[in-house]
Amino acid sequence: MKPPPFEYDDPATIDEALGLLAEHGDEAKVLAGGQSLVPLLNFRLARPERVVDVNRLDALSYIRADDGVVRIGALTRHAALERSSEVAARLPLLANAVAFVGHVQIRNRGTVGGSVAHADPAAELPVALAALEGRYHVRSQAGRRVIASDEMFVTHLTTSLEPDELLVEIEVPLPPPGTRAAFVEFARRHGDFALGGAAVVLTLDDAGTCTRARIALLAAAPTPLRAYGAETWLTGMRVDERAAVEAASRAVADVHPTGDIHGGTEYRRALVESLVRRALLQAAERR
Amino acid sequence: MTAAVAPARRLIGARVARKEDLPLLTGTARFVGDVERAGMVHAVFVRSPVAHARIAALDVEPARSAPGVVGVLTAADLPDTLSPIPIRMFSRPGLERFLQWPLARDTVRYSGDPVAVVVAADRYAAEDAAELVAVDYEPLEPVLRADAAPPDAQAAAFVVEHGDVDAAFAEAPVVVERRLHVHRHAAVPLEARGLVAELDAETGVLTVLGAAKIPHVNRRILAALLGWPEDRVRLVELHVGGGFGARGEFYPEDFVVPFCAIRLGRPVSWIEDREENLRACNHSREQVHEIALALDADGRFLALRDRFFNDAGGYVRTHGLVVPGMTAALLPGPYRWPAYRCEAHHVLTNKTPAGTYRAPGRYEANFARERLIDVAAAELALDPVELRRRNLLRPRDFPYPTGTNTDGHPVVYDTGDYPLLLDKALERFAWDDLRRWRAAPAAAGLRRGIGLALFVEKSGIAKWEYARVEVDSRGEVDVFTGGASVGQGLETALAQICAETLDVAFERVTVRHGDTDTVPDGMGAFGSRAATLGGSAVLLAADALRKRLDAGEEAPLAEEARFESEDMTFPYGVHVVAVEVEEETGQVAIHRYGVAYDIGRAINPLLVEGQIVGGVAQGVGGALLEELVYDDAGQLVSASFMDYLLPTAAEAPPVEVLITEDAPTPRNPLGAKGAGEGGAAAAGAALANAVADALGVDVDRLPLSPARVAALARGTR
Amino acid sequence: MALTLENEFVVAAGIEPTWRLLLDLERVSGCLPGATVEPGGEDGQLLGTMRVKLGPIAMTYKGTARLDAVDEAARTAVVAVEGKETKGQGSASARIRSTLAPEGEATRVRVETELNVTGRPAQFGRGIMQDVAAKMLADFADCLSRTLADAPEAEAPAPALDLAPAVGGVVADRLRQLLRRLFGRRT
Repeated sequence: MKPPPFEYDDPATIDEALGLLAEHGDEAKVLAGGQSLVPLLNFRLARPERVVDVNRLDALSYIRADDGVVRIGALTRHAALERSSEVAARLPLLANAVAFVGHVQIRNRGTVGGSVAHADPAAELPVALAALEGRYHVRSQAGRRVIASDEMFVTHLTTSLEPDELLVEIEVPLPPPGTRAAFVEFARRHGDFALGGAAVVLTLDDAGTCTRARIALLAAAPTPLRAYGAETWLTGMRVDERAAVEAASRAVADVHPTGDIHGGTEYRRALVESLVRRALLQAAERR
Repeated sequence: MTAAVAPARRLIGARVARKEDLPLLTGTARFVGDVERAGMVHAVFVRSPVAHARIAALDVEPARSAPGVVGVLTAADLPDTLSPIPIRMFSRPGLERFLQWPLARDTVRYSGDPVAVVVAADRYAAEDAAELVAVDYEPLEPVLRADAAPPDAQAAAFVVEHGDVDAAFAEAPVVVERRLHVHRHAAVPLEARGLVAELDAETGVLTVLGAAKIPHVNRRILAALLGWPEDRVRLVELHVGGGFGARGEFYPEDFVVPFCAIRLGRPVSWIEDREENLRACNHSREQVHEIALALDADGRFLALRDRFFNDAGGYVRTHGLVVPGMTAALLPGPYRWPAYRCEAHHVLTNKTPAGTYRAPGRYEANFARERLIDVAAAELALDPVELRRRNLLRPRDFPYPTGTNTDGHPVVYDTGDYPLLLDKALERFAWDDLRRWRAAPAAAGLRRGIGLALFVEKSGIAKWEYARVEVDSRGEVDVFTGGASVGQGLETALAQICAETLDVAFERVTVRHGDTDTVPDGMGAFGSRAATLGGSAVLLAADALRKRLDAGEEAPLAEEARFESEDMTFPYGVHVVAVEVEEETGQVAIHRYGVAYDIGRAINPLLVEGQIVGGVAQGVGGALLEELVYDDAGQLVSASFMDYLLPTAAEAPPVEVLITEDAPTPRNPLGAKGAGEGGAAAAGAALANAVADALGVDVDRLPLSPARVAALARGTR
Repeated sequence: MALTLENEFVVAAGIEPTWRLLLDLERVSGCLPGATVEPGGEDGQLLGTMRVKLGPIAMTYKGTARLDAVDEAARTAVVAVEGKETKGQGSASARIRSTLAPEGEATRVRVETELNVTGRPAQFGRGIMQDVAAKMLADFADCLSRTLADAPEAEAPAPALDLAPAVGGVVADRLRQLLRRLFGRRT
C-alpha cells in the first residue's frame, strides 16, 4: 500500500498556496493533517498529480473569541480544539464532538479544516458545526467568500469548494444565553467511524420551553443533515421524554442512510432516532 | 562445572518474567522487515481481483519495462518440474487436484489468487509496475456457500461415529435440533508475513529469512519444489509478531519469493501489507452445522448427531483436513455420549483458502455444541449448569476413549476431573453472585445475561520433538530446540525446564531455535506443542547431561534427546461470561469474563495467563467484531482495518484466569498439557449463550454484531 | 461488488425522437462521467475511457461501450459498458437499461443500472462503492436528460437499429463539440 507518484509542494505562505491551487486546480489535493488523505493515497484510491502541503501555514492555526463569534483557523488540530478552554467555555458542543474524532493520535495531527473539507458523512465536526450554523471562510487567488453551513456539503466527500479554493477559517456564532447542547454517537469500537449520531443545540427560556432547536444528524445521509421539521415541531414545547421521542421520530422520517456491512438502512435509521432522543434529553438536562 | 553456580530453585511452575521481552520492548528485536541486504530488491504480487475466472490473456510487458523493475514472473516462468504445494498433515488420496500452484496457471479461484510477481528497486516502483500488468479474466460463476455448493466443489467427506445414533434418536423422549453458523474470520497477527530470500552464488545455498512455525518442514517442502537437496536450503526464523496458526504454513509466496532470488540473482524482500494479509493469508472458522441432541426426560444425553460444512476456500492448503478433522474429533467435548455421529464436508468455495487459527475446528465445535446444550436446557426447563454437570465424564472414566479419531488415530482423553474444574470455576467467578446480578434490574434499555461454555482442548500434536543441550566450560548452557517461537515465550519456558533439571541459574541458559542450520530437525510450534513436547525433549536431554556431570564428567558436554509421544494430551476448561446488551444499539458490553483451565502442570503460570488472556481477546474479537465479508460476486469487502474490526485495548475485556493442575498427564515427563488455545476455544460459545440469555432469544450465528443483536432484541431476524 | 441503481426523469420531447436518440450510442456513452470516446471500435462498439470521481477518490477505466438488447416494442435499450482500470487490476462493467414511456407530450425515461466493480474500490465495506456509483448514475441520468432534451438540435438522427460503427472524423468532431458544451465544468 504505497501511494502512486505525485509532485509535492509545501508553500510557506497562504498566497503561495493559493497560487499553486490556482495553477493546478483539480489536479492538486491539499494535505493538512493527512489522516484522511494519506490512507486514500496509500490505497491508491486518490491519485492527485500534486500534493500541496499546507502544514507550514501557521497563520491558519488559531482559536479566537471575537465579537459574538469564535473563529477557528482551518489548520487548528483537533487536539488543540479539545484542549482549548475558550471552546470548552463557549462552544461545549464542539469540545464534546471532537472527543469522538478517532483516537488521540489522529486528533494530534488531524485538523478542523481538513475534516470539513474531506466531508465524510460520518465525521463529527461537520455535523456539530451544522448544528451551530458555522460559516466557512474560503480564499482563492480571485478573492474571498463565505459559505453557509447548509451550502457547504454537497454529497459524500464533496464540498462546494472550487478546486482553486482553500478553506481558511471556520466562524462559529456564539449561541444565545439559555442554550445547552449535546453530542451523541454510536460506533462499534472506540474511535471508529460512527454508525449514527446527533448534535443538538437547544435554547430554552426560563420556563424550560424550547425557543429554538437545532438538530443535526451524523451518518444518516451523504452530508450532515439538519432535521428542520423536527426543529420546528419542538419549538414552543417542553423537552421532556415524550417530546424527545416524537421529535426524534420526525427527525428520521425521511432519512435513508446507506446500508453497508456494519449495519443496514433500517438499523441505522432506528439507531439515529434513538440517538437524537438521547441527545435531546441530555441537552435539556444540562445547565 | 564449578561450584559457583546458583543453588537450584523451583523454576518449573514459577512465574518467571520472559527472557524475550527486553529486545522487544527496546525495539532492538529484529523482524524480517528490519533485514537489509546489499542489492536487495522488492517483490509485489499481482493478484486476481475476481473470485473465479479463466485467465484469457496475461501481458506483463508494460510492467517489465517500467522504471526500476528488475523482473516480472508468471507461472510460465516457473520450472517445468514444479508441482503444486503439498499437504503436510491430515491428507488423504483424492485431494491432489485441489492443491494450489505457486502462481495461477489458467484459472484463478479467489480474489487475491497470485497471478504474477513484480520485482523492483523499491516497493513503490514495484506497486507502480504491478498496476501495469494487464490480465484478461473471463469470469466464471463463483461458489460462495459451502452448504449450498455443487457436488464437484466437495473436496472430501468423512464420518466419525460410535454407537447407534439413529436408534437413539428414534427412541429419545427429547430432541433438539438447530442450524448454527460460525462466520469467517482470521488470525490477523500484528506482524504481517514477510520473507527475505538470498542465494549465495559461491556456496549455492539459498537462505530464507522470515520463516516461522515449522521451519524444518517448510525447508523440506521448498527444497522438494525446487528439486534441490535439503542442505542447499536454509530457513531462519527471526522475531515473529504472532502466528496463531495462520503464519508459517507454506504459502505460494514461500516458493515464489525464493525463486525470484534464484532467477534474478539478487536478494529479494517481500513484506506483506495488511490488505494482502487479509486477502491472501489463511482465513478460518467458517462452518455451518446441522446439529441435533437427543436426551431423556432427566436430561441425560443419549446421542449427538451433526452434519457440518467446512468452507475451505479456493484450494486445499498444507494443513489438509485438519480443521474438519478436529471438529469431528472434539465436538463431543467433556460429556458422555452413548452414541455419536459427525458427518464432515470439506467444501471448496471461491474465497481465500481457509486453514488453522487458534483452536481450529474447536472454536466452531464448541459454539455448536454448547449453544445446543443451552437450547436443550431451556427445552427441559433445567438449569444450564446442572444439565452439563449431569453429563460430564467422571475421573474414574479416564483414560477415556471418545470413539472419535484424528486422522485415523483414536482420541483417548488422558486425564481429567471435569466436575471439579466446573465447581472451582463457579466458585472463583462467583456464579451465584452473577445470577443475582443478572436477576437484578438493569438501567433502562439494558438487558443482562450470563453464559458459560465447557470444552476439551488438545495439545501436543505431531508426535515428536528434538532437543540438544550443551554446557561449556564457563557453565553457560545452550539449548537447541526444534520448536519455534511465535512470540509465545518458548525461550523462557524451555530455559526454566533446563535450568531446574540441570541445576543452573536461569540467566545462564540461552535457547536457540528456528534456524535449520543450527537445529537439525524439529516440528515447530503449532497446536500448543512446543512447550510440552519441546520441553519434554529438553528435560530428557538436560537430565541425561545432569547425570553425566554428577558422575564426574567435565564440561564442555552435550546431550541430544528426542521425545516421542503417539498421543496428544487434553487440557480442559470453562469460559464464564456476564454481559449487558443495549437493545437500541445492539452493543454487547462484557461485565465479567472468567476462564478456568486445567493444564496438568503449568511450566510458567505467567506465560499461561498471557496465553489465555490473549486467546480471549481473539475469541471475543471473533464473536463480536471481526468478520470477513464477501459480496455476491465473491469480492472480499472487509479487506482493510476500516472494515475488519480487531478488538483494541478498549474492547478487550479484563479476564480472570484460574489455572488448575488437578489432572497432570502421564504422556510426558513434565505432566504438562499445552495451554495455548484454551483462551480462544470457547469464547464464541460462552458469549453466544450469554447474549441468548440476556435477550431470551435463540442465537444461531456469529458474529454478534450490533446490527444483528439489535434485530434479535427487536424480535426480528 | 454488484449494485443495482435506478434513476428516472422526464424529457420534454416526444417518444419517437427520444427513442432515436437513445440509440445514438455516442451521445449516450458521452454521458458517462469524464468520458472520452475514441474511434476504432468493432461490431458497433465504441472505445473510450471513463473517469469516476467522488471527492478525492478517482478511478479511470478504459474499455468499450456497445448497444445491446434493443427492444423496439418495449422502447427499451441497453448500453453495456466494460472497462479495466488504466492503473490497477480492477474493472467496472455496467448494463444500463433505459426504458421510455409516453407521458402526455413528454417522455418518461427510467434508467436501471446493474453495476459490477472489482478491485480496490470494491474492497471497502463502508459503502464507498455505493456512494460513488450513486453519484455516477445520478450524473449520468442528468446528462442523459439534457442530451435527450437537446433532441431538436440534433443533426440527422441516427438510424434506429444500425449498430454498425459510426465513428469517423466528422462525427467524432461533432461529438467532441457536444461533450465540451455539456461538460464545460469538470465532474
